[in-house]
Amino acid sequence: MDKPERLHRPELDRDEPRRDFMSYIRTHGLGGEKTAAAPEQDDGAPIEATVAHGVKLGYSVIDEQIRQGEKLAARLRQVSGKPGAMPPAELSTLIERALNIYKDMGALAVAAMETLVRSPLLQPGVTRAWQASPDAAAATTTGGATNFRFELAANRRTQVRLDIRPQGATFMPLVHSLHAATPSAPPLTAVRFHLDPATASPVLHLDVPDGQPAGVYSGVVVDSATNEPCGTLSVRIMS
Amino acid sequence: MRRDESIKVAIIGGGCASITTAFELTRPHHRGKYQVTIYQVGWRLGGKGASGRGPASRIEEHGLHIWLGYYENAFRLLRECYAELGRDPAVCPIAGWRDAFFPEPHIGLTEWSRSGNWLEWLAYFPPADGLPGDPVALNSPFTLRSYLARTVAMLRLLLFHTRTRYAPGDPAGNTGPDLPGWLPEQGEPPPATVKTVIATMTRLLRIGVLSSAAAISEALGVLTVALRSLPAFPERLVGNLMEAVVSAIRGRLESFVTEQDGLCYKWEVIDLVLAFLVGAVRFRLMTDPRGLSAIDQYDSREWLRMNGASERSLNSAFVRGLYDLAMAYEDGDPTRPGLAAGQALRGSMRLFFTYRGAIFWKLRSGMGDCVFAPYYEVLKRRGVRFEFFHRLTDVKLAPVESLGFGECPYVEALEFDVQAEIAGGGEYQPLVDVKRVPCWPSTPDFSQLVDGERLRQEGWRFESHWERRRSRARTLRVTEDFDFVVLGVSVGVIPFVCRDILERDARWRSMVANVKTVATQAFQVWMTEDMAALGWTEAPVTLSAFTKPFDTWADMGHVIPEENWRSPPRSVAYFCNVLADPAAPSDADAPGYEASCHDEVRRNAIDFLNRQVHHLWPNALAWSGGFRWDLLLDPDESPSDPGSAVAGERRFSSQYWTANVNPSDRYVLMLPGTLRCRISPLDNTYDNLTIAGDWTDCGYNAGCVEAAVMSGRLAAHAISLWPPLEDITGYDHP
Repeated sequence: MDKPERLHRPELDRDEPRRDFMSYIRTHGLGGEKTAAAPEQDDGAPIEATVAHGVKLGYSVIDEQIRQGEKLAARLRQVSGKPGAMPPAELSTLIERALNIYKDMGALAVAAMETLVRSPLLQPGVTRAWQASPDAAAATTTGGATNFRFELAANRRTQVRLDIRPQGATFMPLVHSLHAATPSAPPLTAVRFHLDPATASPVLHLDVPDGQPAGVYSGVVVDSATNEPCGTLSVRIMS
Repeated sequence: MRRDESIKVAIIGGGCASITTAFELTRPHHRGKYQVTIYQVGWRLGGKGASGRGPASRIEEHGLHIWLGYYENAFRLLRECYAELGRDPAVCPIAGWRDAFFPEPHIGLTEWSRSGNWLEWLAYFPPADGLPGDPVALNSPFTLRSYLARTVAMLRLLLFHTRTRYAPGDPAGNTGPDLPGWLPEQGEPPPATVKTVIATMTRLLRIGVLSSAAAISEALGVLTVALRSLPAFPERLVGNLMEAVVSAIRGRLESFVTEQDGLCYKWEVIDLVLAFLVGAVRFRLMTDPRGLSAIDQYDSREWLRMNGASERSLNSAFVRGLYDLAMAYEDGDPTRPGLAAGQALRGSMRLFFTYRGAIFWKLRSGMGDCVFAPYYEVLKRRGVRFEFFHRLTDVKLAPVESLGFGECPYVEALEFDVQAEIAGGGEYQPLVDVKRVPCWPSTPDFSQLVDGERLRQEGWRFESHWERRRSRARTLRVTEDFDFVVLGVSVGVIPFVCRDILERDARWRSMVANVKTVATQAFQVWMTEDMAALGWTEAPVTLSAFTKPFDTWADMGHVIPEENWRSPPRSVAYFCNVLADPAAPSDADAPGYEASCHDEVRRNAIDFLNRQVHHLWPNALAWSGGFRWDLLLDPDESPSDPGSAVAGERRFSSQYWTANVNPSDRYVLMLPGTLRCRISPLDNTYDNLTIAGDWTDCGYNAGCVEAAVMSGRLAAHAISLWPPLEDITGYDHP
């Protein structure tokens, strides 16, 4: 008598929670997700107009922020001389914290601009802001593509994970072969990035041979211009 | 998959996660596709939540169990369980879930005052809309922008609203004291458009420093609206306004501290809220794809300190209570607190801003009676088999050399010690009736066991990790006895039962090494005087941040009617906390370790009652000093024979205490940097094995009922693709 067939767990669509706030704004419990990729304007105004206004405003207030910090520090120093006021050490700490916060805010401003310019939805607004504010344009030197398209040829279920830190606007990623942890498994070599001329964004192309052993294959993604590492690519091939 | 017969699922362990998996896999819509058997050590279900009925049918718990108002998954499934159970209220007093739980709107914290006393700090949290387990409404509240908006709104209330005291009996419940938790919907700015909010931001940012209270208040209101409107706003703009507000508030707080000593606690809460707001912006939590998990490598205090919280705030009752609630002391050492910042914030946000009905829900009776007995009855009806007295000893993997090309490793066999045989060969009947409620006893029913009287006389301790006596060994084999395995034992047990996996799998070794647990201790006292007579004049409360070694106390007088005393007590109190591990780990393997821990808890409790409890109950102090031991009610004492009474502290022996040192009973910690070492029930490394428990990577990585239930639902999804992940409330959460 034949041995009964051993059962396998079903394949899952995903194996981890969605933590990014952009992706779980749901309309209701069972599916039906509404992503935040298309923010709705509640007053009928075009979104890019709002963004343009926001960007301009952001730059216009940064000096104001610094002045506020200076005033706060000055006021704290005045208070320190009054009876019952904070101990000098705590006062110094507060001032130091305030300065650190402004430093962080500066870094955040740059990061926010990066986010803005990478978003295709927001780009028209950003463009308008730049046109209206040469200073703003000069201050923003980084930006790049984050919209990758995938071309996958495989006869088995395959998960692809690309973790990448975008570089400059002309960034073009490069990946060589992907290797499994098991040395005996042959590497995945039919993997490459190329540029889609229609969208000017990178496309990841991957062929999974039929005989490729199941497992996780990974490799480092580098900037093709500098050869500096900028991310990882991992591919899980199901059995 | 094989289609011609049902799929055999072996679930190891009978705690919250395992029971949940069984409940999901046997839902009627599966049409009997899954044939589930639960293998349980000893005689009762519940795991760390197990309870039993002891002398006088008194309830004896592992510790203090309170369900929080955001336990959406736990409440939802339990409500479904009660609905399916269909108990007749005329027959059983705990017929529905509302009979089993009642709202507890108070949280108590204690603070050591400058005058050398413990001061109680009681907070009232008014009822929130809905009930836990209700369907999640449109526009899920589990978004960081929603949390931030509520935090800012709360901040405004803390800063500028006049303090009002809670009036007992106020049906509206809108007059709470000034602590976080109520939602200041009144006083919000009118609905605003993106344009108008930006315009207001512009004006506020241009008027210079936000020096006036009115300007700060207005700015906070605008921030609330702005945060609710994210992501339609550039992050930086919101950040700029938030930073301006934080700076202005910090300047203003200074006057609080110097001029109004009585409002120091207010400073502490505001300071912590400000630190959170600043941190949320600095660490870009609103846009980080990891959500709050991005800061899980930091300890909560460390992260708040990095973002400007003062040392005083970091050592406030509020923060200490947070650590106490999470038993967050590595190796049980009070000097080594550790709590992953992201999960702590996630928990705090859920606790304060998403509770429904009440912030706390207390159990009317024992956890076993209110939760596990109903589940047991429903699962029995659905055809689930229960194999009690089965201790897992090894999970055997198929040999590597036997695996085919590309074949995933799988569990080949499960080895058990059968601790006792059931007389007559049937299934053990575990429940007893107490006042018409099915309950779990604190000891097994030896009369149902083969040679039971001998086992009882020999003192077999079936639930003890160190009890290795058995009736026989038993091996289950894949395809013959099971198709899938749900490993629902706690992480502390893994090293003893998963030797093959640990030998081969570095991830599992990392999990076992890093996902640490801590022993806990608890005691319960039944007393002859009520709380008012003992000197506690406030409402019944659950209070934390008290002194060690028992930092948490709950007034549990409400369970008295559920017990069966000849002369009922007038009050009942539960205390709990962590229990320090021995300095040398090898002590835990020494003979007598369990007994020595048990005695240590007894000594701790006696010392605590003698030296500390009078801070809460001043009238429990004898005139000569020390605890009034005559307050304790001995269930075996005969009122008609006063001569049988035991005097002095020896009376404590009639009360209940426990040292939870079994590997399966230890509480799972959320230490910084360790949550990434957890493995998800969805992990598919092993072809026929999934895991379940509050120690897994279940989306809410905390030691609690809700995490266990979420994990159990994930394990069911891993096997059956049901429930959908989107249906597990709070799984997709920043």
